[in-house]
Amino acid sequence: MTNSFFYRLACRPAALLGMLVLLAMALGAILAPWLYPGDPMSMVGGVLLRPGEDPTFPFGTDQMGRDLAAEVFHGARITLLVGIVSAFAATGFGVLVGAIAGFYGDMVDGVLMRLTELFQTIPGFLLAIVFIVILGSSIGVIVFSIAAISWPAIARMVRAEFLSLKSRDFVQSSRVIGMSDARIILTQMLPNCMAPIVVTSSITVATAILTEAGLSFLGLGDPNLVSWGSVIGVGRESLRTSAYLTLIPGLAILLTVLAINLLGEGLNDAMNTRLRVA
Amino acid sequence: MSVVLQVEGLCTSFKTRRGLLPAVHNVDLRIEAGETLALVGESGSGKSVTALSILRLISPDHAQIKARSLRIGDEELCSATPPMMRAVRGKKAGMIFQDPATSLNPVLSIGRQIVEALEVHAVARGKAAWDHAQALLERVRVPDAGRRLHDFPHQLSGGMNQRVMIALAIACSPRLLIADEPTTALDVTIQAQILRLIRELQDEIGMGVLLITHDLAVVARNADRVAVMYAGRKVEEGRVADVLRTPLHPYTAGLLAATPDERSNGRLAEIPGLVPGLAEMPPGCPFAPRCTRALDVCSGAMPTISGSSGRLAACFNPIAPC
Amino acid sequence: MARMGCTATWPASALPDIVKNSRIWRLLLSRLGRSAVIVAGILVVNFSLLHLAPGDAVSVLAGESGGADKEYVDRLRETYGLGRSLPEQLIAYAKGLLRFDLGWSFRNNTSVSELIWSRVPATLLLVGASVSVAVFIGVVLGVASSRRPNSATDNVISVVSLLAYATPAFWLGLMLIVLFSLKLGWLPAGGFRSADLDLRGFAAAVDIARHAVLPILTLSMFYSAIYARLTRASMLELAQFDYVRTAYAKGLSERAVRYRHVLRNALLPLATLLGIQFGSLLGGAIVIEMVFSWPGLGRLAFEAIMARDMNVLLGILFLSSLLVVFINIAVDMVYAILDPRIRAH
Repeated sequence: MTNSFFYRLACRPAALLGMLVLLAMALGAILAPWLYPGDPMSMVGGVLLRPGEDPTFPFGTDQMGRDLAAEVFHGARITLLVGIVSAFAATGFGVLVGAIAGFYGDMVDGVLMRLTELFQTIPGFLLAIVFIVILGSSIGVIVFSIAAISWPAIARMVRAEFLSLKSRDFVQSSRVIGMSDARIILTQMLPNCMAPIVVTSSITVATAILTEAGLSFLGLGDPNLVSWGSVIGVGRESLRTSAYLTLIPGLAILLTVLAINLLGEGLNDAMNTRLRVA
Repeated sequence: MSVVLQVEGLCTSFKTRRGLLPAVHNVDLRIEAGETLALVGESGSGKSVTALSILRLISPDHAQIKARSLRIGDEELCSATPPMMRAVRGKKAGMIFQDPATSLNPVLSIGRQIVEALEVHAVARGKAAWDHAQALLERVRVPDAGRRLHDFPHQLSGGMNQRVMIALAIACSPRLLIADEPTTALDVTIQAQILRLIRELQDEIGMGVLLITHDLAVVARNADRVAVMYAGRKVEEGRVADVLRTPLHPYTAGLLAATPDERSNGRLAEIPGLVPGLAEMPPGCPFAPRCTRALDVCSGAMPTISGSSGRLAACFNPIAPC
Repeated sequence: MARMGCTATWPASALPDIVKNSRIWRLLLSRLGRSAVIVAGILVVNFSLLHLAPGDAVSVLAGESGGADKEYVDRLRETYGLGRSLPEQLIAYAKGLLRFDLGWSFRNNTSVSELIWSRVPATLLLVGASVSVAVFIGVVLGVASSRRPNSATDNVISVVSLLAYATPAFWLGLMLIVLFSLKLGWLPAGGFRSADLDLRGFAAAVDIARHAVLPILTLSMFYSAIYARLTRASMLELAQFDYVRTAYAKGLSERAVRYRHVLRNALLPLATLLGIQFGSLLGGAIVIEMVFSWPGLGRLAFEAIMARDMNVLLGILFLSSLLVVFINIAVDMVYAILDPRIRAH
């Protein structure tokens, strides 16, 4: 009982803190349209108001009089959405490739691994940039691009897990009793690598968020949507005078990624039943 | 006859979340030059911990090692400082371990590792050290020693690697050699070779050898005296011939009965029950729960080891009077 | 026959062995062979992207944004053009790429390859220095925190690593500019060197160094955290191995064991990680160069993004992919030198 997964997770204050921060971010993102109705990019106030100068604008305003708080809250929606969806897609595709490669081995494995290696060799961020330049900077393309560069790491990991599971007795016996390949993969092997998949997914979300922020910062984000990266990009113009425009959305990214990492570490420890030798 | 090792009242306890758990309790050992003392027991008896404790190879973060007296040669090491222990390890006392494959650094060449042992104790440096290393390899009968110096552990067989380990241990001609299950991980044919090698080196250098093993056949053929350990305590000691022919302690008798030999037919006699874990020691004699000769007094009080002229046993109801 | 072994540090005694070891050369050959497949893949990817781009491939290659010389375009059309079948186009394109004929940039009035080559040194400086700094800091911190696990030192380093790992690099760069450039005025805010000052020799080197400090610090911070954590984990795990106990039994000090035995083995996974992460480093260099106006490939990529200059972008993609392939081969060779077990295969 005391060894249950949730108990172990609850015992780590860092992981709990991470979870709380994430919930706060998610809450802010969900409530954004109510807290700050309307288009966050509309000019609503005086130009370059510092945080606290005007109580209606707790985070201040930017060069065009846009409410920074509105941008941060709405930006959370995009950042979290892109992060989660692209990580989800990358995980799905990565698990598929890794499972097939690990399960079937030989030529299938060889071909899939060369493909994976190819996508790991081409610098991911650059490839994402090229995708967006070619296909346009809509949010769908952004999600696709980030997913396209994130899947190889997951594929590698799942393949390694499957390779080691393949020779285990319970898998061998499933084959002997005539279970179909798909059933073996889905019902026998996949559940046994859930732990590393979950942990790797959390890292993928964090990396996806950082990548999306970088892309928007470079101006490649969806022009109709506000994202933390794009806000920093705009704020950079006035770095000298109004550093808060860059500081605040950056802190938001930092806190979110930190929270995800803490949670991911907590998950990793909680799922790891290896005894620590004195 | 000079005394090579003298241990009195060695107690090693592991630091755990549940407190200090004693793994070795009040063990006395004495080895003279040229003599081989075998330390026998099952897994969990504390024999390896005893060996590691002598050279303090267990980190003080993990265990507490205390003794009334611990002398190697004529140096008292009871409250030795780390620099003192470093000067002893490898120079006054050498140690070889069970699994030669994992006991050598895979990324350093054999020669490099032997030279390291020579240089740390300033026995030789530079080219002289490499020549000395080659001589050592030849001494432990590694063929083609000159080439082997530049090979890596994964290129050598288990038996060869164990010879390298022996070369490392005797590099500085120590007075004491501790061999912790040196042949357990090796083929039977190699076992005899290694043990013979150790005997020969012992005669050459005049070392005392502490031979740790669970195999009574090894004891019979290679040791002069034997000490039997159970649950962290010494329960019997004596000359090998005496102990193996007429054991005093019921546990020793049980071990002998469980050892297969040419005369045994049918099932091997086993000692029922399991060795108690560190945290589950019964009050009184730790062997009492499994002992066929147990008396009421055995579960209440701890028998102390007693006897005369080197023939000792810790038992309230020994098989023969000590 | 006695060998002339020296007890200098291991490379000196190991080197003659390595060079004579034919297995190392065989390994190199096999790695080159495998890499050829990857390079082929890169060519196919580039080709596909070229055709996916708006406008036809030839106008992209001709650098349509400028308005091209008709003769040049006709020549291009003939060589790469749509008149031929797709596989033929691919081969022609591949041949061109391998000759480093990456097209023309009219915006800059120079061939793309020349443009790229002129920017490579700055990026190599940035990336090379950042990797070195990251490895150095990572190993030092990792070893320090593994000495006494869960001590104050360890916890502080863990917290700092966690923060460094979560910080977006471009934001960190901006914040460092605000602090060190704008508020404190200690370091320049961007650029490669002070163009207005006519500096030579040592003074010029110092000037470039001053400009490089912040970009290098920014780029290396994320990776330092990763290497620190990996080093710590490796050191702790390897300390449990049997050969560590043997080393102590020989009479070695804690320090000697830690550096000569444990760290030596802990460097192996680090080398592997370096290779895997090099592509990500190059990607990171793009934003850093943009933030600090560092005149390298990243900056060039950014300019190309702004101008939607496809063939410059594809050229950079191709070259950086090749660079990653090369670095991976180099890392594998280093690994083979460090780990004698690999050479046996």
